[in-house]
Amino acid sequence: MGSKKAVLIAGLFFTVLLNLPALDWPDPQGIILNNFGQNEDGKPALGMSFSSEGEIYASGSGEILFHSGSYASVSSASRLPSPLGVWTAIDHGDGIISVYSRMDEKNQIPVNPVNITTRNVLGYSGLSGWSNSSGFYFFLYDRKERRWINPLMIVNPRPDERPPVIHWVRLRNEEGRVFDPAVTRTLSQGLYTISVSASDTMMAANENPLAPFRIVCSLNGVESGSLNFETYSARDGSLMVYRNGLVPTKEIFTQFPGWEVGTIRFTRGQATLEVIVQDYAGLARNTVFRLQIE
Amino acid sequence: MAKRKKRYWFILGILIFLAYVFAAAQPIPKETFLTARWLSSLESGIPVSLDTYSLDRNSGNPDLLIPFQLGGRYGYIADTGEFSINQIQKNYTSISENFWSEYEPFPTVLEINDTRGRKVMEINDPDGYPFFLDDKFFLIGKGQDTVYALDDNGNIKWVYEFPAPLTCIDAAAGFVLAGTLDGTIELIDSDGKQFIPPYEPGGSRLAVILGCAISKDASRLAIISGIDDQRFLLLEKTGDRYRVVYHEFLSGGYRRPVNVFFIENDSRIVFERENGMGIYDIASRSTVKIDLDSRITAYDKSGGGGLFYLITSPEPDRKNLVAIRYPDTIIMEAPFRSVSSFLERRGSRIFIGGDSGIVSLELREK
Repeated sequence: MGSKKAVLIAGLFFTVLLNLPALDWPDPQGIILNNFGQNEDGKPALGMSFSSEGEIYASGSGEILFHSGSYASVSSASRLPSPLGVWTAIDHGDGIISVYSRMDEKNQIPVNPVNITTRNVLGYSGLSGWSNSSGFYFFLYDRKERRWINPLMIVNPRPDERPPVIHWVRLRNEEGRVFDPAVTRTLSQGLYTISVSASDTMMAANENPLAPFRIVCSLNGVESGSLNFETYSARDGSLMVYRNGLVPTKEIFTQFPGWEVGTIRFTRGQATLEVIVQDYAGLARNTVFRLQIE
Repeated sequence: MAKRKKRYWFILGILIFLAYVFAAAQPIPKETFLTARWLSSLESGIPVSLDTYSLDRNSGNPDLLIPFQLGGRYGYIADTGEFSINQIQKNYTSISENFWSEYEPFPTVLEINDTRGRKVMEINDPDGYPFFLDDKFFLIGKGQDTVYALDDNGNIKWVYEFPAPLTCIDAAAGFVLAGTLDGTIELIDSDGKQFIPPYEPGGSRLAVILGCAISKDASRLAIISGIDDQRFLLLEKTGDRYRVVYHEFLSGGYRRPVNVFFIENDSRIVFERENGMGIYDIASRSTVKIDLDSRITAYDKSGGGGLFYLITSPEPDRKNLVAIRYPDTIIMEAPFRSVSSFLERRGSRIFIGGDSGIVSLELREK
């Protein structure tokens, strides 16, 4: 059953990958502050924030779809304040839209011409909208499927030599009691929710901790929970993420800074709980807990 | 014989003349003119009487407060020319008829105040920026994809997570209308539930919603959508559904937020279109295009009395007040020097702002 799910997820992943155009980073030198899927006070990040000082380039060729240059007041046209600050959206075809936001207000680039080629400068890093340091916020949107896409899936890869780190694993029973399986080795039988806190760095330990790409839990070798930070979509007013099927993100992002990866039913006897965390480069780390269930 | 023929021609001529006089004659239109009332300096905050206007408090309504944002300042000015609030904008601001808030880009607390500067509520660790529509309080989430409706105490009533970033919003009669980057509109009811299935106007090469407006009774939705070609659409409510009752392809188009709003008790819709503006008349189901040679910087969003005002900007430091008599006659243009501009109207009173102050004008007829 577990392997079937893994094949299904892998199939889904590669289907998505094969259909998406390759893109470049808007600022290859920009430092990633946080990335797709990161738990931001109980809510997922749907894009990537960069600390940056210079130009912001188009990720690929396309056409300007939308530009909003007003941010300090509620716009008379949109009637909205703008947490995205100064922002530009480019339609790359095949349903892919890239968005460059929180750019510098004083150095805005005119939206003419509307046809953009890779490496055209769209704006400059700065401060506008929901930001407290110089940089920008970048995200990708798939209009065909109406979902946000993890940029790390389709933007040309960045060097990554470090596997993720697992900070903690917690088990919460139906009464709401929380156990650390590294400390409590004996548990009562029943249904438990598994929460995992993990982070990833690419080249050095002192980089900003980022969200991993996938977290998988297995019980006695059988996959019982798999959380993928590939896409987010909203249905009927609720943001959804893939965890053994689409589930509302509020069920996943409850335990800051971790994620609720799934539920496990422990039955009497010995149990081996394994948590595997993988980054987007495929590097993985696991932790195993041998538990006595009474 | 020839004499009789001549007489017939003469009588016919008189009849035609009389018929013309009675059938084609029109009353002389009333002459409309503006008289200056007062000028209030943003710096000093003191109103000065203009023309023969008396600054007697009885001649203006001190309770009629007009929100303004102008020349790096914001606040409320009364119909008497006195400022209720007049302060320098240091951060981001959201201001409406009844409420305002100034907040940090990365706010840890939001303070919502009324037109007299009294604190209405305080929100700690907000998840977004505040805005006020339909006399209600909302937050737009930091990703610009989530709307939080707040109650009068600042508690969250409902949260709606949209399937794409928002490009426009409007609210009326308890409903929230939102347009998205991927070209869909959603209508949310007062419980935060989808009232109708998401609607995609389509019909253009690239789908995007550039502007949206909802009438006061929520019976009509106006939308500007798409690129190549851009479209203006009007949807009307029939039972629990909305259906398109009018659409028009607009030549050219924008790739930025576009103004669209209902005026004159929701009987007309004004919208931006390339090189001018359009006015849609709901009764006759027709639009007129008004050609303007420069960018519009401010609108009269009430449009009553058969007249509509706007300000254009021929050059960055030059503005032009334009008055339009429906359906499409420009009846007045008044240029003035200013970098910033502001225009509000309450019935016959018009408030026009330049860099240094606000002028009140009275619309009169004779």
